[in-house]
Amino acid sequence: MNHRVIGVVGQGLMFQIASSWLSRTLSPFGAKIIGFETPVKDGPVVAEWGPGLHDFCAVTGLSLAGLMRECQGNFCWGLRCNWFKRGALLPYGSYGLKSRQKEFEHGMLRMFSRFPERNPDEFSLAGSAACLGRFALPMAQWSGWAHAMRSGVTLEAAQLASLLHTFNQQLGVVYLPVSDDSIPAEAHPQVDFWLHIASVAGGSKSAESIEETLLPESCCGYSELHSQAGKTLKLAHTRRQTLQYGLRQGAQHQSGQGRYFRQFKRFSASWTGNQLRLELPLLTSLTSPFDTLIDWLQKLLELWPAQFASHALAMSYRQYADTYIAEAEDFEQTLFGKQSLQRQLFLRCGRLLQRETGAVSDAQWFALLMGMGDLPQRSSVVLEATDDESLFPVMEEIARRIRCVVSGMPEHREFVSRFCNAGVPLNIHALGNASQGA
Amino acid sequence: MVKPVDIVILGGGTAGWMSAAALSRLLPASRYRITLVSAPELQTVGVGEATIPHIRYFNQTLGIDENEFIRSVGATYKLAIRFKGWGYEASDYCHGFGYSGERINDIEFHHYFLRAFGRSSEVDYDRFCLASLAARAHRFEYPKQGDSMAGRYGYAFHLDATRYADYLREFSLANGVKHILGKVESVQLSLSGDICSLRLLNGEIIEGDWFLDCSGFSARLIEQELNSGYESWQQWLPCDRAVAGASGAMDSPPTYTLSQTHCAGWRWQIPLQHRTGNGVVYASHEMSDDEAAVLLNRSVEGIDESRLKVLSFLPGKRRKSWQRNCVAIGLSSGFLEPLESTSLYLVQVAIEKFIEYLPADRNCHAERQAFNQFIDIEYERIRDFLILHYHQNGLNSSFWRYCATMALPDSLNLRLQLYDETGHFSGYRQGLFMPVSWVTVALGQGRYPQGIDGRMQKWPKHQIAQELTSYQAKLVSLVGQMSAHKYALGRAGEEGLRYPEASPSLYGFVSG
Repeated sequence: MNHRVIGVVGQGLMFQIASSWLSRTLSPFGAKIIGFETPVKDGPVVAEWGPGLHDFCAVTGLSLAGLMRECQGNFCWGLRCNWFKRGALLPYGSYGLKSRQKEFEHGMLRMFSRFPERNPDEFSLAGSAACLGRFALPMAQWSGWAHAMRSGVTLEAAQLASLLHTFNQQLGVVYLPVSDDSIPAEAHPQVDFWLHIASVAGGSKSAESIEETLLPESCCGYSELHSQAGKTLKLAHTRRQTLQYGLRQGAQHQSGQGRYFRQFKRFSASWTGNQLRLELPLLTSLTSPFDTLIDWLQKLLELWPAQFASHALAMSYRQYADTYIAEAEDFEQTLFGKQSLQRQLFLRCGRLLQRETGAVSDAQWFALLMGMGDLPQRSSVVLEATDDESLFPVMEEIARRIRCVVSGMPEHREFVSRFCNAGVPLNIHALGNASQGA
Repeated sequence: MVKPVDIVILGGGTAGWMSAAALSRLLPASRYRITLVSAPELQTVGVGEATIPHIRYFNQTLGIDENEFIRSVGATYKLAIRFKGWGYEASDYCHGFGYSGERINDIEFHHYFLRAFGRSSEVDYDRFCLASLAARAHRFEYPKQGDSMAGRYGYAFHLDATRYADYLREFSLANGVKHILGKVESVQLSLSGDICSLRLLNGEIIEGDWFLDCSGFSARLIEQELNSGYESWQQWLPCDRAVAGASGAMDSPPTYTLSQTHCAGWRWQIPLQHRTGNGVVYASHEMSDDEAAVLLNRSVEGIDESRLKVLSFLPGKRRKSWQRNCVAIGLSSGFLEPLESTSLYLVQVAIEKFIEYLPADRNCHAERQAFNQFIDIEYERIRDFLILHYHQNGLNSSFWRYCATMALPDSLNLRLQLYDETGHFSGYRQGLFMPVSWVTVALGQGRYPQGIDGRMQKWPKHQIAQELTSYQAKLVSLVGQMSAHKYALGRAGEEGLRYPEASPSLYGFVSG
């Protein structure tokens, strides 16, 4: 058997996540993970995850309930933007109840053109539940609506990092403290592949200010973007704390040259020889850096080679990451007013461009453009064959069913409490309840 | 009362009638008037058309009953394309409409295959694809939904393109499409450059808001009037002519399209219920039309020599398929040879996208840009896949030697380098062919990667080989339970026979 050695270099939560992921996915194949840990820097207190945390749990065998309990977690249906003209939530889940309801969003557009006061959140499980402070996971009676019930989680970052550190040691990750990330590869000839995780705090240079405010009992089921007096504030809540940071807006944003954009562009991936370097800013307005990391690690495994020093591998990986970044960036910039082709197309016919990565979902784009007040000149021409009198009752019935489902959900706080206290152990693997690898 | 939008389709071939059928079925008749103009003497190639599973989705969207369709157009079932002589003389592999093996431990199946058998010539990769195995055995059965082995494939049809166009014409006329027989004498443009109307030879003027150019290679509107421009890909796809003819029906029609190489290109065989379509595709600088006709006659018994048709084409793509208020669909939009049966697929996706983006007025820069971007990606990704068939070869003729040494598009170069070095083909979200198809062609034509997934060394070769052999035996057993193709076709004539739901996927189901 070929024992390969993977060196993960970095510090903080991103570093621990990458180590866990690689250890869980590669150890069964005989790989050994060495964590070259640089001195820990201050990072944000709250880690915002999208649905990527569910993937992380599935791979690592850590239980969501355990993480929620240990890290004061809150569930999160999406991001609420207080300046949206129509609706408020950028949901992780899809609109409607099922994932393949053809032209459902166009039925919504038809309703909004006739009844401008109607709200997209009425047609979204996530949006409706977030409004009412309700929450449930797509278990048991709701399993058919998993796509509509996708959610994220906010966790206390330091607690999660510490927990993963312990977990990784149990997995056999060996930690070696180093003074910085410029480790000479020749000093460690046993390492076959180096993964550098640069989790850029971003706060001091790019975000206007970072404040950590203790807000006990803040459990609202979503993160928030507040726009006020030319400033945009991002808030993310765990059960114990709220992370709040500012994103500068104003004239600079219109030109696309604002400080915020520079911050976002610091997402990057570069591959040289047997070294892959991922730079992931910890603070962004929309895209979860943790979900990005999981996506990029999945891509890495999808292309997992026998020999790492491959020009084509490096090029292919970077091409993927660049596309991911461009798609996420397009979304972020549109939020701050950029006229993208995506927005122009939506304004004309209510359609979205096909995208190559999972950086942003259709539902998120739809919610964003609706939220900005964009109402397309026309909706689906196929739906034109159905008149309002036939179409609207169908849409109302779905909205009614969504209300009904949401009213059956417990309050967010209650769900979190029950979920966390259900006694599920943190490490499911330790009980032998799941199997990985071969 | 609001004036209805006039959509004029120029061309009465398969692309024209597919467009008319879809538009008349999906757009409300109260708001859209569809007119199709076709020349009285129009001749389609009429020797058979091979399709891919997406055609079922198109028919399903139109509400066409599959069994009635099969009877009407003389269709046979299709599960694969069989490639003989591609890559090296003795090669014989099938590109099936389904997955080979399964993804295990999040690693694609071909890595297990390569770990177990390496370059062994005794075991072929396509033998792990149920659709391919069934095709070789001339068998057919509907995929069983939800079954992890017997449900992981799709199917398509071989059909008579003329009959399909006729079928869709009847369908369209019943849905209110106005059909005008006439030849275009001139085209009137507005000051802005948009097309206003077509003037026919008999003096009739056909006005329209939107014009679909389905006029075939002549590209009467998109090129002759609007000068969209054409990007030739002949440097990568050197065949530029085909001679086609029909022979009698086969006693036991296969469930595959045959594609077999010759010294200057390849030839096809498409089994229909009532006859067999045949053709030779070739590069005109390597083979004359007469030589191609001789080759066709020599290769196929009972061909009707008096009705051979010679076609010439230039592989490539229109620079802008949507120009002003005109959208090119079918051969006017571009030509990629039918090696992977993608012609009707490209027609289909263009129609679907046009309906999706159909603008409210002519100020449609965004729709146009998005449409052209979409079509470009579709064409370019299929193009790269086709080039791989030509490029990966060790055949000994000047034609094949050129193909083996030609410079490749950057996009394909990177894909192949990645595969050569790591055994991986990158997937994409938009585009027809997923990594399993790329692997099937690469391995089928003798291109083996230097490396495979780095995790594979965990398992001893013999252990994987044992598992795979057992898996393959199960597939063979499943094929044994399938019906003979001819019997399955007879069954399609039975009233009320239920067929599976179609999905827009080459592999039979839509994941997620």
